[in-house]
Amino acid sequence: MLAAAIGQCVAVATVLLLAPLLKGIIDNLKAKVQSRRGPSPLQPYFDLRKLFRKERSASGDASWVFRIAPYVAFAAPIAFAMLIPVLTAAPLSWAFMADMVGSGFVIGIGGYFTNLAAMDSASPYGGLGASRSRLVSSLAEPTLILIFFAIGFISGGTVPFVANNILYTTSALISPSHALIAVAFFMVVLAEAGRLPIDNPTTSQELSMIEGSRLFEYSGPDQALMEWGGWMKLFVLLIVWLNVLIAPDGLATQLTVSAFAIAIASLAVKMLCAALLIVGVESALAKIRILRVPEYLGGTFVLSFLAVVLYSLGR
Amino acid sequence: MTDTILLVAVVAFPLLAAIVSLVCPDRYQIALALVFQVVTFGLAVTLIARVLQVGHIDALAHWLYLDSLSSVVMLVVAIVSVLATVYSAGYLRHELLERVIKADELRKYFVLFHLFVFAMLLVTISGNLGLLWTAISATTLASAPLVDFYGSHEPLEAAWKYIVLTVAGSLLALLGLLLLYQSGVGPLGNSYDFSIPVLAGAASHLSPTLAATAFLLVLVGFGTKAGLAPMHTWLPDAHSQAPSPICAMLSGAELNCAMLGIFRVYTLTAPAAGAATLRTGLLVFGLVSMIVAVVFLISQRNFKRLLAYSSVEQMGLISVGVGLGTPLALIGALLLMVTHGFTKCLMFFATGNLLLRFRTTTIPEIQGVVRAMPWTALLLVGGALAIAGAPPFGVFISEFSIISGAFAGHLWVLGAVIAALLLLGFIPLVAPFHRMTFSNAETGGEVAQAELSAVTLLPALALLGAVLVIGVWIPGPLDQLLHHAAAVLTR
Amino acid sequence: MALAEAVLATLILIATFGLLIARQVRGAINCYAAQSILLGGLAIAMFAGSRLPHLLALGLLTIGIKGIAIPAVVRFQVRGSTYQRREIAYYVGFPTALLLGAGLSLVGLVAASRLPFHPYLLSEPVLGLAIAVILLGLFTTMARRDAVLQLAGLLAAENGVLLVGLVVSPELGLLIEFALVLDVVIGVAVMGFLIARMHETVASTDTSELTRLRG
Repeated sequence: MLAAAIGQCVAVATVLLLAPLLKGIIDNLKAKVQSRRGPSPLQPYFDLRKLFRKERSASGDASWVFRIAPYVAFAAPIAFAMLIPVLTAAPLSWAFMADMVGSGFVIGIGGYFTNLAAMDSASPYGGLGASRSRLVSSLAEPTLILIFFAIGFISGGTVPFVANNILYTTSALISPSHALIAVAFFMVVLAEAGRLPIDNPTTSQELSMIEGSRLFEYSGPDQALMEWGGWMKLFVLLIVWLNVLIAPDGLATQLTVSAFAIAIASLAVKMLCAALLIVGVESALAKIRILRVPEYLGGTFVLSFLAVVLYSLGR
Repeated sequence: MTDTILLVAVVAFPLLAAIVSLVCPDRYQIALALVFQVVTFGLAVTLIARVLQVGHIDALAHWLYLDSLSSVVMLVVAIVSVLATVYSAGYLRHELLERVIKADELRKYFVLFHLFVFAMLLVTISGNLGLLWTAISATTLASAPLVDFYGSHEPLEAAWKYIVLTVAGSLLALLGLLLLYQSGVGPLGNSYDFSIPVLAGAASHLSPTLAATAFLLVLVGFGTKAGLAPMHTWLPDAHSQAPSPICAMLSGAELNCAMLGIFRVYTLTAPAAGAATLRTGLLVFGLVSMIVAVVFLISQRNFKRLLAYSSVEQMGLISVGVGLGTPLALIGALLLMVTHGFTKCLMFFATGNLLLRFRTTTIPEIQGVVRAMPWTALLLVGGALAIAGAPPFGVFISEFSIISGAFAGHLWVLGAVIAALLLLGFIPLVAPFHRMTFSNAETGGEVAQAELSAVTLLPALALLGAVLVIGVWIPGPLDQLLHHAAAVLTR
Repeated sequence: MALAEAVLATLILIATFGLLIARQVRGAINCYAAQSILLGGLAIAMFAGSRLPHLLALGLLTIGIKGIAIPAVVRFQVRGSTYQRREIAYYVGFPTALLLGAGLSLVGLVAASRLPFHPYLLSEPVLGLAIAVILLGLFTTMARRDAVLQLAGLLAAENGVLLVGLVVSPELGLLIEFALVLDVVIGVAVMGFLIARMHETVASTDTSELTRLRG
């Protein structure tokens, strides 16, 4: 019981501490691809430290939503991390709070409050970013639902841990429909986390931003929490992709220190591969026009639809 | 042994002709072409005589195969090719004189021409189904640049549509052939010789669903190439924009090659999949083709497109003939392949002369041909009557045979429908040519009474004679060949 | 390895969708190149599993000719950066095209599941994916206005037929596979020549300009 709780805390701490490192590695590798030296992979930690020491300021029009949004946006990925197999193959203490659909809501609440806060501050860029982000999220919904259904079909349950185990042990892993789900989900992760080709996270042109402009009004510790929340969102979505859909190897089956150490190491390796993939995609593709975003997400819907059909035909 | 040599030679000569054409100086291109084509024709006739003797020839471990069914097609291809070569000589000399084309374009023309003949003959002697498919594709690839020969906007459009549609059709046909292979895996094992004799041996043990699907795909795929509606939309464009000798070969010979592909797969899949189902498919596509063709025949202003739609109609009728399945209908369909080939070829030669003299393909613009070009006028009127199915020409006999076949099989309504469609198509086919020939016969003398050279007339006259003869009395060997071929189709 | 083959077959389908959805000629050619390379890779993976030598030859040939040489040739023929990057129109419009593409894939998958099939080296879903690729390629040819994309659709459909060949009869022999490659090479040559002529005469390769012949 206690061991499980400690294990849970370790998992959450891993997500908390490694998410900035993921961002740092991605930025560094992207810069290297562009023939620059790039910032150090530890740069995000320094940024966080700097931001925590600064003063916070808020617009006079802002309400309580503006003030609590950073905390919600920070807490949502952490709660989500408790529901998914981060380091262990078996569910830990809090894992049955919600299944896949529920955990979708959990991570959604962070985005919801961020959007409200963006509109709250009366800056036009905030409203723009909020409406665009809504567009992307709502169009990604059908795909996500289909993917959950597909995983539910294959594994007979919608809790990520259950699905994980079944996918890992049966030959359902080796099928074209599974591959289609994996590709579709990766495309949705890119959209939800605001990476290219949907949104350029390093752009400074406010009119083209989707996610970034929602964070404009924040400063100091609030900004630190919002940014950290954003990095953690990418991190946990990738964990779902890696540990549930692609390669659930290396997850700890016992609650021992060595098993957890192996789990953390394998997670690091998998994350590095995912980072390389993201860097490749971001360096090769240009940002698509906002008009084309529905087409992109429509494409992911088609892929997941085909996956479901292919799977049910194989029955 | 001699058979193998003959088989290889009949395709090697056109291929050799193509290679020699590449390097031959322009002055000798036409002579070279004539020599090679005559030799090829001789080889083809020898082969057909041989097949009449022994039934079928099988060479190179089933890669090459010639039986009575493919001999019928080879006959048409060989005759049309050699006569088209003769006609090309006259046609191209005239175009050179009028400076419509330049001397160095002769090389391009003849190289492609020889490759086209090579491909068509290869279709007729293919024993391996993969080779058959490749040869049919090769006929498209060799003839597309020929369709585009004159280089302006419309020929380019025609060539593009031709290639896109027929390649798409070929891909569907290949899918069908792969499924056919799969259907034979049960009785023949995972890896077997994909050739006609081998598959014919196991024909009744093929998997029925796969065989039926394979035939349907091949019918649609090769049917695109054969001009069956609704996949025929490339045909009027391609067959009207190409130079006249090429049109003759496209309509007269190439369509028959595609039909051969369909019929081959039909004979191979009918025992397993149920001949009745497959015949229904042939009937449906054939009837739709005839109906569509008759509709479009009625308002045509371009005589080459008129002839092209007539080809669609005749190909539909051939398909219906085989779809009916009775012996009379089968013989009629096979005879129609031959007589339609000859007649269409003749018509394209005659209208080619018209085009050379009047420089237009619009019907209302041509008048008084009987004054200006009396021999061509004879060919036009005679040919038009022949192609529309008037007695005593050969086409009439074939069509009559098919309709009798329908009645013999107690398919009264079907026979009546076919007869009605043919009658409907009669006037739209004959009237324009009649009008062009006889209207303004007095004032037609404005265009000086000047026929083109005899070379442009003799091939057509020969064909008209042949069609007339066949209409009255089918020569013994031809009759025998047709009966054997019909037997292949009923097996 | 069944896993590698399933993943590669799926990626081939996705590449074909990419061809259908591609907005620029450049993107379409790249999708075709990717599809061919994946197909060659699949053949090589099958070789690794079954040790049939001609699969290796087929794989290398596909990658070399269809994955590298032909895209290079087509890119050369459409060189000129404005042409390569211009957006291309559909006859039916993008959402319709996507929906119809999905529908056709569905048809292909269902049809393949209805056919009696002896799994040989590849499993049954791959046949469905292959037929879906053929249908998508043919649909691309019909739905797109640009001549180069019509060509690319035909080439993609040809790859689909090759994939069906791999599923149905890996031993059918070099003949059909070489015939396809030869057909592709000559076909691209001929079609490329026609496209070049289109550039000259019509000054564009938008085939909606080629509508003078009617009736």
